[in-house]
Amino acid sequence: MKDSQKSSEFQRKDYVRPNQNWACGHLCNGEACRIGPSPKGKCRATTECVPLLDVKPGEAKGHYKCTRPASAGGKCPNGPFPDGTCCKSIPKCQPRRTLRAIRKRIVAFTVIASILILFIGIDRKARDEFINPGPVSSTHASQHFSDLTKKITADDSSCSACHESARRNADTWPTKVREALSGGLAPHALINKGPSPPSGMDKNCLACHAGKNFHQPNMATEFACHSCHVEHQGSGFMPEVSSASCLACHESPELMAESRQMASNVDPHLFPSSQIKSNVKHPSLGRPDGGYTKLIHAFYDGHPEFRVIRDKVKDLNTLKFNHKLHLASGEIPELHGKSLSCKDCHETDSKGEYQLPITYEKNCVECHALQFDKDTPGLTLPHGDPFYIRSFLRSLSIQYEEYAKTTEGITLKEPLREYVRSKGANVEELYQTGEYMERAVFFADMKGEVPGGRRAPFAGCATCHDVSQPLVANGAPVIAKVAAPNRWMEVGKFNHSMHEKGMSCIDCHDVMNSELTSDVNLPSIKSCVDCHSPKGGIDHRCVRCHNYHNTTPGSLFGETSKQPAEKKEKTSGQ
Amino acid sequence: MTTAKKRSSGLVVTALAVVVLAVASLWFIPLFPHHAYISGWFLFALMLILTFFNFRKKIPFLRVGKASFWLKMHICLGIFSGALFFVHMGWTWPGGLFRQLFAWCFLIVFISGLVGWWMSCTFPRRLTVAGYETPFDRIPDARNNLRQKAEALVLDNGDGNTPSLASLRYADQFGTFFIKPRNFWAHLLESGSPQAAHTSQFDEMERYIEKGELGMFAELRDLVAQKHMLDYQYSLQLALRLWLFIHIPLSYSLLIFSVLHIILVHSFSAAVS
Amino acid sequence: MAESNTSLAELTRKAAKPDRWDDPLDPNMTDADVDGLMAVEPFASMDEKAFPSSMPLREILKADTAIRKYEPGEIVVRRGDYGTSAYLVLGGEIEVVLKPHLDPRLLGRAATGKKKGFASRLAQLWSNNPEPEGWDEKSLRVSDKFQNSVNTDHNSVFLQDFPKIISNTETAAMTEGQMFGEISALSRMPRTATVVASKSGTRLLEFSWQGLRDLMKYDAALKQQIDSNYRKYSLSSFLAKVPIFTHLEVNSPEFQTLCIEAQLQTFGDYGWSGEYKKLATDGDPETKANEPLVVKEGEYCNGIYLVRAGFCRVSQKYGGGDRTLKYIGAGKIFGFEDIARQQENPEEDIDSLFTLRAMGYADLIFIPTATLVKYVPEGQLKADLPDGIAGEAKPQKKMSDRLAEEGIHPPTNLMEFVAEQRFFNGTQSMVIDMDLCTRCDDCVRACASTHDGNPRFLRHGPMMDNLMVANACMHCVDPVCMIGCPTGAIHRTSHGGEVVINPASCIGCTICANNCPYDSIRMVEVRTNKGRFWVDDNQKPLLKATKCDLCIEQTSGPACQNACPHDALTRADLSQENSLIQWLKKR
Repeated sequence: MKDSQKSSEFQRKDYVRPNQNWACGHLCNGEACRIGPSPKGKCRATTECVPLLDVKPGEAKGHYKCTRPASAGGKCPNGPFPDGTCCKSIPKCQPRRTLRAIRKRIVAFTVIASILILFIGIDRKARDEFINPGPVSSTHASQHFSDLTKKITADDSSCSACHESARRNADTWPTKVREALSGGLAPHALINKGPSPPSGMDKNCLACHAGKNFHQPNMATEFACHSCHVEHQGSGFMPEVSSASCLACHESPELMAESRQMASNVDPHLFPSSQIKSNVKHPSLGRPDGGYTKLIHAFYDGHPEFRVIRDKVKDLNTLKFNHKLHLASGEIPELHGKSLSCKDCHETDSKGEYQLPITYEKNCVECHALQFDKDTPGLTLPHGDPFYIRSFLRSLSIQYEEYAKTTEGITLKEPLREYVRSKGANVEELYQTGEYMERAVFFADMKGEVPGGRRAPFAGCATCHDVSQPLVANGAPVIAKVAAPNRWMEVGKFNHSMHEKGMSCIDCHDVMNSELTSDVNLPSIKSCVDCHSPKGGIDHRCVRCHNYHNTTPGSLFGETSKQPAEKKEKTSGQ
Repeated sequence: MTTAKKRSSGLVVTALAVVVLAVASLWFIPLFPHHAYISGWFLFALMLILTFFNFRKKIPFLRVGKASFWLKMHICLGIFSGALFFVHMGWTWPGGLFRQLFAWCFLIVFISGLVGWWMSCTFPRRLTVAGYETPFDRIPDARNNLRQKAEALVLDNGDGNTPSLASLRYADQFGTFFIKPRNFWAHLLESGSPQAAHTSQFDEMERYIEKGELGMFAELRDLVAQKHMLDYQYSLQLALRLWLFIHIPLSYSLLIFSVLHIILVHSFSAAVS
Repeated sequence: MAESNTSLAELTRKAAKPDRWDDPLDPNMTDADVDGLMAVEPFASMDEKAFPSSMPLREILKADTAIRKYEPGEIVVRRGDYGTSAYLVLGGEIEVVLKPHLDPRLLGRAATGKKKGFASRLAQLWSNNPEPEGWDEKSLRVSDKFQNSVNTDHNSVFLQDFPKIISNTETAAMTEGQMFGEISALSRMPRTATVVASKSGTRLLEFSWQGLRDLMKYDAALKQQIDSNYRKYSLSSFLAKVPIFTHLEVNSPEFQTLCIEAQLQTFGDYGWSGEYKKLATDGDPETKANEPLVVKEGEYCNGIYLVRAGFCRVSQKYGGGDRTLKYIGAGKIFGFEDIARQQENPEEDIDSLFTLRAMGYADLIFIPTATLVKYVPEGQLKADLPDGIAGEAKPQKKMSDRLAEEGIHPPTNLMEFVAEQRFFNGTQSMVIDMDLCTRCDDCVRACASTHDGNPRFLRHGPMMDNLMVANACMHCVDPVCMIGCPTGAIHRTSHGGEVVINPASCIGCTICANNCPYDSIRMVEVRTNKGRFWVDDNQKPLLKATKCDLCIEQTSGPACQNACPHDALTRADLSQENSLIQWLKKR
C-alpha cells in the first residue's frame, strides 16, 4: 500500500456505530469501555467480569474464577478477590453525546426557539411591530391617524384600521385563512390577470377617504383601492401608482369597448368637463367621440393629442402682441445692446415651473414708456385705469409743476411758473385742444394714426389695447381688460427650467411665425414624446400628468376636495 | 466523460430554469397581480420536498428512490428555490421584523447549502490524497494509539535515571500535542505551517541528539507526522459534519416560519380586509 | 514507513519449525485406533512401502483422520455446505437424501426468501433496538427443540423425528467400506446432498483433505477410484458447460474420451485463507510465495487450462517484475490464444505469452493440444475465442491492449491491488470511491436501521488510489467462512446465492469469523434489551457471528448502496474484472 494511503490502526473487531446517541466518556482518550453507555446516556461501567464460584468435588467452599471474556483480554493475572468481587473495576465516566446527537438537540432547540419566537411575536403586545411587513406611509403612521382609528374601531392597534385580523386574537386567523382561500385568494383566482377586483379592505379605506367612483361614470370594472395604492412600502409618501395600473384598463380592448358601450347610457352631464381657467370665457374642451376609450399603451404610444391642440383653441386675449415682430422682424431696436429674446419678457416662477404673468410694469414699460411730450421725456402717463389717465391729462399744469419740483429741481415760485407756462404753451402748440390731446393719447396706434384722420406725435393706448368710445356721456374711453389664462393645460405638471437644459423655448413654442395674439403657441404631444419615451429615456409615467381620481378623495383632515394645487396656481402662469 | 455529463445535466436544466424564471419575472409575471401568492405556494412546496431529503435518509428500508437521486434533486431544486425566493420578494429585501427574520433564515439555509455542496465536492479528494483514512468515530482511538506509541518510545529510550534530551523535549513540546485534535483551522485552510514548525523543531533537535537516540528520534518524527495527518482528517471530516449544524436546524425553522407567513398573508390580505 | 538500515538480525525471529503433524484432526487418535484402521479396507491393501519415510501411512492416518460416532438422525453433512472432509463408513449405515431435499429449517437455516412486508419494514423506523446488539431471548436460539438437537460434543445436529422425515424422501443407503464427500472436499464444491446417520452406532472415518490428498498421492488404487468417481459425476457436468465443448453430446463417445483425456491438476494449498490471513496479520504478505507456478511465460505450454475452482493470476513480464493483467476464476480458460497462434503458424514453436499462477489454491483441468484439436473444429479454434475475448486472435498484441480496445481498461495497479488483497473472491464487494465519499456514514446508518440498529460492516478497508474496499462481507465465490460451521447457520441462500447467517442457529463458535480471510465476520457479544450481556452458565458471553447479509430481508436491495447520496458506494463483483470498471465509467 502506498505511503500516502497508510491506514490508521484501531480496534477492528468492533463495528463503528455512528447511529448511537451516546459514546463512552473515555472515548476521547481512545479508551472506550466494553460495556458502553445505555441508550439514555448513563454510564454502566461496573467491573470487568463477574467472577464465578467454582466448587470442585470434595471442596466445601470452592473458589472464585475470573470470567473476563477473551474480547476484553481473557483471564486477568490477579483473579478475583476472595469474596468474589472482581479486582478490576472500570472507572465510571460521564458519557458524551455523539456529534449527531448534539445536532439532534440543536435541531430540537431551534424548533422550540422558533415556535417560541413566533408565539412571543404574535402576542398582542409585540404583534404589530413583529408582523408588520414594512413601514406604512407617514400619513398612516401619524398620531392623528391612530387617534382617528381608535375612534372608529375602538382598538388600540392602528393596524386594525385596515386589517380586521389585527383586531382579533391569533386563533381566529385560521378562519380568516379559510375565508381567503375560498374567496379572493382561491387557487383559480390567483391566475387572474389585471387589477384586483374590489376587496373587503376597500370599506376600511372608504371609512376615511370618502367617495370611490370618482374616475369616469362609464367604467367597465371596478378595482380594489390596493390594486393601485400599495401600502407598507416604507415611510414617507405612498409610492406612485404605476402606469401598469392604468394600462390594465386603457390597454385592454375588451374593457375599453365595454366602456364605450356604457358611455351611451350615461347622462352626459355626469362626465366631468375640462375648463381653461381664465378671466375670459373660453369654450369648454369637449370629450372626444367615444370618450376616453382609445387604446393607450404608453404616453408615447397611443396617447391622444392634447386637447388644446386637437380642438385648435384660440387665445381670446385682447392685447395686441406680435411675437414674430418682436423676435424675428429685426425692426425692434436693441435693448441693452442685444436684440430681444423670450426671456426679456417671460420669467419663470421661483420654482422654475411655470411662467409668471406678463405685466406692463415689468415687461413692457422699458420700450413702451407712455410719453406724450417729447420735450419732457421724463413725464409719462400712468398705466392702468383710463379714468386716471384722463384726470392726469386734465391736470397737466399741476403735473408739470410737480415734475419740475421733483425732477428738474426748480423750487422758486417765479421759475416754476415760467417752467409750467412754457410747457403748457408747447403742448398747446402740439395738440391745439385738450380734447384732441385726450383722443390722441387713447386712440393713437403705433403709427400715430388717430381715428378721424389726424396724427398724433406718439403711439397711444390703442397700440396694444382694444380702446373703445366711452359708454356714458362725459366718460373716459373704455380699454378692454387684458386676460391670458395662467396655464393652458391644467392637468399636466410642467417644469420649464428643467427643460431649459439643452433646449431652447422655440424648440417647443413656434413663436417665430406667430403674428397673432390668438395663436396658442403650445407644442403638440409629438414634440413631447421625442424625449418622454423609452427612446428619449425620460420619465413617461401616467401619474406625471394624470390623477385617476377627478376629485381628490377625502383626506383624513376633513378638508374635502380642496386642491392645494389650486392655491399654487394663483401665483403661477404660463 | 459520461460521468461529468450526467452529473452536470441536472445543473444545466436548473440554470436554464433560473434564467427562464428571471426573464419571466421581468416581463410575464407582473401581469398577474397575485403572482407573489403563486410563487409563494411553489416555494413552500419546494421547501417541503427539500426537507423530505432528510426524511429519506431515515427510511433506507423503503423503496423511495436512491439517495443519490434525492441529493441531485435537492441541489437542483435548492438552487432553483433560491432564485424563486428572490422573485417571490420582487428582487428587494423585505421590511418588517418577521419578514426579515424569515428572509435571513432562508438566505442562511440557502448559502449554507451551497457551502456544504462545495465542501462535499472538494473535501473528499483532499481527504483521499492526504491519506491516513480513519472513520470519524475511530479518530480518538487512532489518536490514543499514536500517543501511547510516542510515550512508550520516549520512556523506553532513557536509561531510567537521566532523562534524555528527546524525552525532555517531548514533555516540552509534544506532551499536549498528542492528547487532543490540533490546528483545526490550519488544516481546514490547507496550511502547512503547524507541520513546518514541528519539522524545524526536529531539525534543530537533531543537532543535539545523541547517536543512540537517532532511531527513536526518527520514529518520533514519524509519529508527529502521522498525528498531523490524523488532525487533517479530523478537521475536514468535522467540517463536513458541522455545516449541517446550521443547514438542518434552520431549515426546520424555515418551515415553521413559512406556516406563520402563509397564515399572515392570508388572514391579513385585502381579500378578507 | 521504509527503514533502510535495519540489520538482518532485526528482520528475523526464532521460532519452532512448523511440522506437518502439528495440528492433527483429532488429537485423541491413538496408535491402537490406527492399528484398527490398518485392518480394514482400503488401508489393509495399501502398500506402506510406497509411502515416503517423511510421510508414512500410519502418520497420515493418525494426524489426518478421526473416527466419529453417530446416532440415528444425526446429520453428517448438509446439502449446500462447504466442507474439507471426506468420509468412509466404518460401521453402521448412513442415508444420502436424494430428493426432495430437506426443509432448510430442519438443517438450522433461515426460512428461504422471506422478505419483510411493508408494515414491518416501516416499523423499523421506531422499533429498532436502541441498545447495541440487543437481542431478544427468543431470537438467541431457533427453538428449544432445535437447541436440544444440537450435539455440543461434536458440534452436530440431530434431525428431530428422523424416521418420519426420511420416509417421505428418496434416499440411498451407504454401508461399510463406502466413501462419500471426497469430491466436494477435494474440489471445493458445496455438498450436493445431505447425509444422515441412520443406524445406531454408526462409525465414520473422517479424512481431512490433506490426508486424502497424501493418500491419493502414494496409493494408486485410491487415486484411481476417486479419479474415476470424479470424472463420472463431476467433471463431465463441468466440461459440458464449457463453451468450446457444447457441441459435443454428453453421452457421445467423444465426450467420454474427452473426460478421460482431461488431466486433473490441483495447485496450491487448500487452506490458503488461513495462510493468507496469518501472513497478512504478520505484516508484509509475501503472497507470491504462496502462488504455485502453473505456466511460465516463455515456456512451451501444450494445451489449455480450465479453471474449475479457485483463482489464477495471469501476468506478464514488465521491467524487472511481473505485471498482473488479470485474474481468472472458475469457468475461465487460459492458453487458448497460444493454441490459436499455433494453428496459424504450425511450424513455429509457440511459447506462452503469459505466466499463470494459482493464487493460494486452484483446481485446474488441463486439456492437451492434441485432444483439443481432435474435438474442437479448426475454425472455432481461430474465431471463437472463449473467455469473453471475441474477435480475431492477434497474438502480437498484448492482452491489456486488447482490453483497452474494447473500452475496458482495467488499470494494472487496480488488478494488482485486487489480486494482492485477494478481493477477486468477492461477488458483492463494497467499493467506495473516496474522491466522492463525504464520510457522512449514511451507508452505515442505513445498514444499522435495516439491521435492528446494528451496522453490519465497517466503513474502512484497504485503499488503492481513491478506491476503498470496505470491510463488508463480499459474498465470496469461494466462501471459506462456510467451511466447518457446525450448525449450518452460515449458508448460501438457495435463490440469490448470498452468504447469510441464521442468527438463531449460530452458536457463536467463531469458526466462520476465524476462517474469513477478510475479517468481514464479526463476533458480537449479544445483550438483553436492557443492555446486560447474555452469558452462559460459565459467565461466558454469548457470541453471535454477524456480517453483511445484503439486506436480504428488505425489498430495497443493499441499503448501503441506495443510501449513498453521492453515488460513491457500490457493491461490485470483483470476480469479474469488468464489473468494477463499468461502474467507474458509468458514474
